[in-house]
Amino acid sequence: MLENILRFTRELKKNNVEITTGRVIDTLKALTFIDFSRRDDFYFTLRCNLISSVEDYNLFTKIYLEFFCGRKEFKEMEHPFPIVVPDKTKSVSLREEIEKKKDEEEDRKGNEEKEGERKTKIASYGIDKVLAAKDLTGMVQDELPAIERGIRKLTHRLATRISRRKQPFSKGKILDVRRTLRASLRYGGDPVELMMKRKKIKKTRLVTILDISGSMEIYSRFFLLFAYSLQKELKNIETFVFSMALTRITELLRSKKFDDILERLSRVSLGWSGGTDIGGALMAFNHHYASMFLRPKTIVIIVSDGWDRGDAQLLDWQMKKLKLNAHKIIWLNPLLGSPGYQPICRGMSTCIPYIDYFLPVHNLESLIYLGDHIGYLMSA
Amino acid sequence: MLNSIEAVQKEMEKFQYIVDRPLATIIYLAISLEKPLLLEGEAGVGKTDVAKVLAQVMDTKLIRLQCYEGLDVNTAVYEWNYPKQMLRIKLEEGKTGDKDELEGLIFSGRYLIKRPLLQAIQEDLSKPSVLLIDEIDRADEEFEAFLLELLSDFQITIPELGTLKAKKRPYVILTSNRTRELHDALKRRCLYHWIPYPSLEKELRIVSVKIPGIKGTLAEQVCRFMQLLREEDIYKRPGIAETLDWAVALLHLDREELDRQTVIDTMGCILKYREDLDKISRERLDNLLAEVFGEEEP
Repeated sequence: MLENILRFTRELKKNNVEITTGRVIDTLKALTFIDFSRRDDFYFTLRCNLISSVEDYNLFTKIYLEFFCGRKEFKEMEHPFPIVVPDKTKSVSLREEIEKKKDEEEDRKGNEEKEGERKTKIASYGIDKVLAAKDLTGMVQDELPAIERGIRKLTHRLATRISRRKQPFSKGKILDVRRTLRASLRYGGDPVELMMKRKKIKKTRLVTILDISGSMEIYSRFFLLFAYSLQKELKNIETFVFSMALTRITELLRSKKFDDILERLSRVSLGWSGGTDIGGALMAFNHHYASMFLRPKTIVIIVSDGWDRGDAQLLDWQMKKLKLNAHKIIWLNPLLGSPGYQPICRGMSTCIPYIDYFLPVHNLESLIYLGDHIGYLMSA
Repeated sequence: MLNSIEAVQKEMEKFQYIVDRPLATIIYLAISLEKPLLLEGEAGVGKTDVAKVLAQVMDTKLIRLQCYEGLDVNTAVYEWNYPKQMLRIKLEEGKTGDKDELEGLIFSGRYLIKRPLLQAIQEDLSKPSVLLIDEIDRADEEFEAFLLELLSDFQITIPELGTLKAKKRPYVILTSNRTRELHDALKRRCLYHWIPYPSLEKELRIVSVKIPGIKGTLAEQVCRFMQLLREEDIYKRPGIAETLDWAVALLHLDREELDRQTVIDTMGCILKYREDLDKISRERLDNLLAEVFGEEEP
């Protein structure tokens, strides 16, 4: 039995579930309290000791079924989420379209002169300018490290530029009663020294809402790296992802290595049912998080191609609400990298009136350009 | 007394809390292993009630700490009763006395306000209490780190008094609405369970048990409606708490069955967001009612 459990946990570890020795010991201890010939008790005992996130339930069950019993024998168990298979059909056709446009773009750019300024800037990142201009969907495996290095360098520079600006120090205006009384003991109870409360300025400066649905797949990976690196450098940045439902991943980005994050996101059933609901995601943000994170100077970045399956009226309301509370809204659309793209699809056109900056995000160059904008907005 | 999974189910049911086997297993293990229990789930599925009912079952005190952003050690653990201390100092003013003695006096147990976490540690009952740390996801990282320390050693250090160790470790239950990821270290300390929305049978049982006066037909219609509603594309799915509220409201209105107008009038019991109310009453209501009554859809 002991050996079986150990092998099972090793199997879980192979699938990126975090198992510590402590957990294994606790699992074994727990098993002494139950009648483990009862299949269901055995399953739930293992699960509550080894798994700490509902998103891992599906994976756990799958491995459990494979390891402990033939599938046919196992009775149906209650699952909070059914096992979901991501629907990639839509993204394939869109990708083809983008590929085609990209080829046309390459031809066009070959004949164009780049702005002198842009050239030097890109050179200063130590990246080959052709690589910087290449669309991210066209990346080959061995080009990835260079791009990733570029992104990290970019965020580092951006962070330096932002934090160099002097922050005003607000001398507290609120009396800290506790500390005042404490100090007054020295004077026999007379509050001679007044201790002021230093305001805990926890203002969120940047909020990113990233579309990770099928059509955005490749771009979102790179943008996530951008967000991840930026979060490492700067404080008070919040990151969210959505396809059908919105999830805050700020903490996740902080705690793991980047590859683990991608792995984890791909396993979570955030509604990979092949749809995007931008309106719904923004509504969730406005209801739940806006009051927490939107301050007078907060910038909101929405990264999406605008392909939306949700209610257009809802999207309009939510963009309106968002605009009221955010300082500036930057919308990043990878399709802007394609020449001749017009934002006429219903989702995108609904949002345009509320956007302050409408920028591309299809290659490293566009990320550098974005960095400029952010740097400018946050230093002003 | 709670020496088996079945016992947990039976005892909790005496207090009208229906526990299914998975949850009963976890509760039983938490008690037997003396490990904290972390319950996650949507709002209104009964996470908080687990702690309340458990305290009743074990006939012990429930100590509740409601978490929120900005919750700090002072509000959660202890604070000195400054006004009382000041008064004492004033009283002593005229007298000649040892300043150190005075200091020792005012920093003693009598002048200490014990907040939930300290209460949980200091409770001197014959049985350990139940400590409920509600909605831990609303507190911040700093507080989580502090809590982690506390859950490991069950002791608190107050500079003026020294280290206070728990006489009896309380049973700890943490709840979270999953608005953010909790720290790994905290999760590892606990037994974890996600409480899903109930099945139709379970929800029906809960309603029958908690609202004894309700007619079977109404109860069934209400539950079927709620089950269908949760499948809808709305922002805030209603929990069991809402089901019960609605059922009670309908009972007060002397309804024995659902009808379209009643549902429209009372939908505020189950849907709390304008967008959801609009969406359902505008588009989906007739379809939902048709399914509830078992009619053919047009």
